[in-house]
Amino acid sequence: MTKAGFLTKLTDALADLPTAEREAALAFFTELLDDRIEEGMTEAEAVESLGSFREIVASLHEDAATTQPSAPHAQTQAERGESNRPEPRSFVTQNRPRTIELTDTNCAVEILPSPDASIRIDYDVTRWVTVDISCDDTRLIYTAKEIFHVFHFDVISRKPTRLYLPADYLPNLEIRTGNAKLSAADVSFDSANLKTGNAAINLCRLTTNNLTAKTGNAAVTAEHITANLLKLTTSNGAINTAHCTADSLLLKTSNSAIKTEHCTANTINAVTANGKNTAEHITADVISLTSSNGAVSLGNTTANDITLKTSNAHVTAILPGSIADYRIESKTVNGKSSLPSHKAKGEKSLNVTTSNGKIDVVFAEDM
Amino acid sequence: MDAQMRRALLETCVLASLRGGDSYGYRIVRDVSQYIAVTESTLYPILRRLEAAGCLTVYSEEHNSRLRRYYAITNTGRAKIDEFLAEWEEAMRVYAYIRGTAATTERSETP
Repeated sequence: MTKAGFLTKLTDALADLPTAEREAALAFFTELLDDRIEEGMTEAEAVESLGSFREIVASLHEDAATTQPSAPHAQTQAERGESNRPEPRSFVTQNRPRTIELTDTNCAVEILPSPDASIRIDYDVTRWVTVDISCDDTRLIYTAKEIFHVFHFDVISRKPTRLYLPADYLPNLEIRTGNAKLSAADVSFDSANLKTGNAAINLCRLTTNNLTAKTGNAAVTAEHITANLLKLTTSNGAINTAHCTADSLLLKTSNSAIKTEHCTANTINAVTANGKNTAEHITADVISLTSSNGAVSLGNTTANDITLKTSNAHVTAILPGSIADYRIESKTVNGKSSLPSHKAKGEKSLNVTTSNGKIDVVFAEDM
Repeated sequence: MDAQMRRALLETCVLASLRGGDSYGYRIVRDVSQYIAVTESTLYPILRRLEAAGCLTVYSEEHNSRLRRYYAITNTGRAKIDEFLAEWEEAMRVYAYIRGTAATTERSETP
């Protein structure tokens, strides 16, 4: 069986486990397989060396069952407001659950540092909104549901739901809202999956392993983030990333501009269509800027592997060093180019493609 | 061997393997299986239990462009090892006694 086949089969077999447990188990076995493959085993041999599939699944289920939360440690709270006016409520806990799942709707969500050692959620309830909260040693779950979406002058919007995180606490966050802004600042976490739609996402001064943020029809802004993986996705909205340090920086939008500045990463991949794609003051190993019908430009960037690709637009870049440092593949049709279409020798790699546009790539030392 | 005893042995063995320094899944399996039978399926729940008990912490670090999870022993974990060793001092004394009586009986039964 292939590695992918095994992992898919395992994912299916663990479908009844909570997301966080399933993902942790998958990560563990993926790593084991990768280690064995690194030692020289084929994928099939590595999968076989893990032993009986049935035993693996049974022991994972048994483990999940024995780490089930015990009632005395669990806190629950269910609220519903009494009037059309939002009424403020709070949930406070000293627990340190590994995962926080917060699902709200038509209400902004803000993630902020806690002033003390407790985790706290400040939220509004109304007659039309119920909020259910449960918290034990492994999970804090907050769910706000609109019983009835009211389009009425009397209904006043709920204030943003605020999640306060204490210092020295690194949870996995699953935060979801809709039609409302999502913001996070000055906190650290192990991983976060942030999702909203039709509204902006603002991220600043965060430290984490993995951060995935997704919205549509709105902008995403990220500043001063330190992460292993930073993945920002939107459509019809700009992505602005500044002063971020990451292992992998993945940015994707369409019909809007992407701007990346003062970032350091191993890999940067920025993709848009019908929008400008600009990067400046970057240090990276591999950087790739893609657009179509939008200009691509790169400045003050040190990288070993550069790909700039668009069509019906110009590519502009000022690169450090001299042309001798780069091996080059470049192509344009109906446009002037400052680069040779093919240059075999060079430590760094440069790949530039466009059509109906000019290529204006120059090298600092040669100017 | 009794299941509970085996589990306690395995847990403490895993902690001991981390005493010399942080380690990762595959290496822990290799190191520990020299002394007691352990597979990935057995190791995974043990690591989860030890983490829940505060005996070890987990962090990720890059290795050959993928993220590897490393496990590090905590002071609580070290204390658990000391507790295990103290408990087993008594067990070792009893073992020696039982072994000793078996030898004496053999001698007296020889004509």
